[in-house]
Amino acid sequence: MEDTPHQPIAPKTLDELQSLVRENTAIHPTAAFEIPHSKFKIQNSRISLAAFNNIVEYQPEEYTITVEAGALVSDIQAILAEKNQYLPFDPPFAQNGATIGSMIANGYSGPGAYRYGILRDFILGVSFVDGLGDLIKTGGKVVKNAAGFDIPKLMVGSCGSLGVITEATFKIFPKSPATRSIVFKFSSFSESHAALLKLGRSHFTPDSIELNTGGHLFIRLTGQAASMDQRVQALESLLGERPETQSEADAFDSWDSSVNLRDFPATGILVKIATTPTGIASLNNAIAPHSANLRYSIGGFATWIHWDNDISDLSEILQTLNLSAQVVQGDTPSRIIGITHQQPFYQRVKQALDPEGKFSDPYRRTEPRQVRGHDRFSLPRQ
Amino acid sequence: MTSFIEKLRQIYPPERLYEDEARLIPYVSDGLTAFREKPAAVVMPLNSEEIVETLKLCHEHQVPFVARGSGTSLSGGSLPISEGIVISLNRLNSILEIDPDNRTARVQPGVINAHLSAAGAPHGLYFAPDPSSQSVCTIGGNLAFNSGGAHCLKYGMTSNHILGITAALPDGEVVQLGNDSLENAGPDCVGLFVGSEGLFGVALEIQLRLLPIPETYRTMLASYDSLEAAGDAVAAVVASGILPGAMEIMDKLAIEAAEAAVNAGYPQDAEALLIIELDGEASAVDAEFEALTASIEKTNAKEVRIAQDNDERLLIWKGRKSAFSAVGRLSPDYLVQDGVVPRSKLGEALKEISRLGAEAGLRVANVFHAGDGNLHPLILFDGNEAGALECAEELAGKILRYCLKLGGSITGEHGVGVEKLSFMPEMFSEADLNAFKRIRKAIDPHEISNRGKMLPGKEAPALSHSGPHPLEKAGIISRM
Ligand SMILES: Cc1cc2nc3c(=O)[nH]c(=O)nc-3n(C[C@H](O)[C@H](O)[C@H](O)COP(=O)(O)OP(=O)(O)OC[C@H]3O[C@@H](n4cnc5c(N)ncnc54)[C@H](O)[C@@H]3O)c2cc1C
Ligand SMILES: Cc1cc2nc3c(=O)[nH]c(=O)nc-3n(C[C@H](O)[C@H](O)[C@H](O)COP(=O)(O)OP(=O)(O)OC[C@H]3O[C@@H](n4cnc5c(N)ncnc54)[C@H](O)[C@@H]3O)c2cc1C
Repeated sequence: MEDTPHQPIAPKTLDELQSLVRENTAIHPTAAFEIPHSKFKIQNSRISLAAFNNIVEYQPEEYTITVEAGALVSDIQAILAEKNQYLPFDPPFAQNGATIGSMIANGYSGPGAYRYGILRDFILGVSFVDGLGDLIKTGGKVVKNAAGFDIPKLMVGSCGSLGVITEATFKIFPKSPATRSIVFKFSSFSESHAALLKLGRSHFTPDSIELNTGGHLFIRLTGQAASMDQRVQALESLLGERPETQSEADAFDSWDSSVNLRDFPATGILVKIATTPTGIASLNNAIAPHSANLRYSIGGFATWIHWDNDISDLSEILQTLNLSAQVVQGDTPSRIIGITHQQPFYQRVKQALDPEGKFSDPYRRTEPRQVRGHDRFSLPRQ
Repeated sequence: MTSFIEKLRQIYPPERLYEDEARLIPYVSDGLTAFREKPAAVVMPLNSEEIVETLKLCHEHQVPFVARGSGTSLSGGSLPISEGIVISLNRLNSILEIDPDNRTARVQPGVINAHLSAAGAPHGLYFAPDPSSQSVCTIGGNLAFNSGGAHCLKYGMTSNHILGITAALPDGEVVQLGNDSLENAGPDCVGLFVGSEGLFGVALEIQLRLLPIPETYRTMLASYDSLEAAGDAVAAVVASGILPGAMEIMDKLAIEAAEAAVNAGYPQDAEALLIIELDGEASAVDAEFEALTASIEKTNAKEVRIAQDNDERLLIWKGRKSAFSAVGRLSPDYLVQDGVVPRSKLGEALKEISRLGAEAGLRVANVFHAGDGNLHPLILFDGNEAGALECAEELAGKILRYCLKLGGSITGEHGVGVEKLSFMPEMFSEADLNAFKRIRKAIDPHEISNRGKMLPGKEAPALSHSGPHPLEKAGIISRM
């Protein structure tokens, strides 16, 4: 383990990690790698879980997988793909080196979450080191478990603020034998939005639905190959518009770009907004004058926005629309913006798991802390 | 206590504040009748304000309370606390909004599960979690226990369908968790609240996700010569990449009981019955059905039947959903457990259950969510025989320990309640339980909200055999 100001510290064992948390006052868990350009100005001492990257348990016939938090999401996806299985919530940023720990802490889901649910719907168990340095194991390794508080879900979107995640178990699904991707090219956003609502009122069950601001409605169907033509025809007659069917290569590229938000600039502020299918119409109107880059994902339940202006302007817009959002990238005063009504409950939970405030707080800017006894992050004494 | 009750009387008129023995009787137990406890009072709030006032009062006087929906908990979750009050939520039963464009609904906690689906039906929507008790249990109870049902394999548990909660914390502070979206910003506090077994106060309003009623269903009934063969068939179907809406298994005893109760037309010569249901868009289901038929053909089924119309489908489900109460008829009393095992260990677990049952000299019927590995052994006993209840409890304990040994859980959907308190330290370490307790304390410093449930520590109430449910004794419900 090296202790240089720019490199995260990488404990090798759980004991080491626990001691690090116990003996230091400010902890910032990070993805496995040292990153040249950081999304957030990091003021806390950084811990890397690079040494925790094993698969703990994977029996494909169980449709669950248990992995350590430093494992790369992309590696896990590759291992699942070998057995024709996948994480149905389409975790974003796998290609940017997201780890299982950062995936959970960020709590983002991609377009595929439309059909079966977002990350929180697939997490079964989590182990983590809390602010006291205790190793806590919650949830279970089986697909159903109602014993104890559901802390695995709480950790989704916790932004590294409640503990250092060390291991997690997920429910996984079999990949469908066939997929078909189609695009309805309407001439305006309002037409594609009307089509989205019509689809929502039908019994159709696409795997993914996305909209851009230019009137394009992207749909991915999954299932048995034999059913695809008929399903596309049924959609065509429902929406009264002939869709374009994407070639396999185009479809792969376009969904991949969407999942990894490749169309957004790598710098500037990127925000995820929790929205509703009806609500995105007002959001679209409110944002229009600001010429920001938007994509409506998960059938309108998640909106990604790239914002080049003052973040407080966006926060204000969101407040008027009664929306909450999470900053994905960019240096902003807090990670949660817009409506923050969860905060009072969150603070109680935070107090319980991190009584000394060692971890950051997504509702507040994390100020540099005074470290008792020593002036910078130090390794535990052996 | 007297001044506390005095103040309660200022909130509630006598017809909504029960203090007399006769009106308290129906509340002394929940679905787990082996436990009884008389509360000091039962209150019937009509709105959120009354609940908040009540909680503030309880907090101030440190009087414990239990929120109660329909009292069907099978683990003692809604068992009253002596010297405490019961807050009955049945009158808070309005469906406040159904929003078909966003496929969501906003409800009060006392809404009956099945009523919500009925209200969604005109819009082509339904509430997916379908506990067998859905015609009586409430959304508040479902939320507190993260209840499941036969169709959770594909669509998840209650937690997967709750988007937002307005709750009164045990000190009366009203908080808002989550929102109207499937997505969230920041930590998933809704996820933490759901399944907290009433320890975090009272859910006042609940924002839910509804799903489109599938265009079509295909329901298949396959019979087998052994439970193991039925279990293998489940594994084969899952391995083929099909994701059915439900996969349920019933054993011989359960089949016979269900048949006697509702005449579902189940094959009588089967050792095990597998129900598989596909749902979705018609063309997709047609194609899946072919793949399903192909994989079932390889499984040595004695007989395979397909529901020919909706009536036949409903009859198949009626048999399955009535299995609990039907088995109840075979015996004066029964206990039901809901341990979970890894799916690939189902066969092993069932064999051990039957061995343990034989060893204890008790009959055990099995009806379970096979796709999830969620067992439901129903242990039959006669509570009038000295020691029979203890013997049944001991068998139940052995079964749960075996589930843990196989890497599973002590409960898949019925919760810990009071019944499984003593197993918590076997599933969780001291550090884990301490973290639970710290969270509990931060939310409820006096530990008044459903005290004595889920988290071991306080004295567990004594087990007593008490025969039929108090509502049965009072002549309000019957098993017939
Ligand atoms: C659009 C985009 C482009 C990017 N491009 C690149 C690139 O080109 N090259 C590259 O190397 N990286 C890239 N990244 C990754 C990103 O820059 C780094 O992940 C980030 O800088 C590291 O900072 P962090 O610790 O805040 O984030 P992460 O390490 O990603 O963590 C995210 C959140 O999760 C928490 N967290 C992480 N691990 C845990 C854990 N085990 N337990 C609890 N909490 C945890 C963190 O505290 C933080 O709140 C990109 C990211 C984005 C969004
Ligand atoms: C015949 C039968 C079949 C069953 N089948 C199933 C099944 O298939 N799957 C399954 O999961 N369960 C099943 N159950 C168990 C039970 O029906 C469920 O646990 C149900 O969710 C309980 O709902 P209830 O309204 O009866 O809640 P209650 O029993 O009244 O309460 C249960 C718990 O919820 C808490 N609670 C209630 N309302 C609120 C609120 N508003 N805010 C906070 N806490 C609250 C209570 O304090 C208590 O801890 C079955 C029970 C029976 C009797």
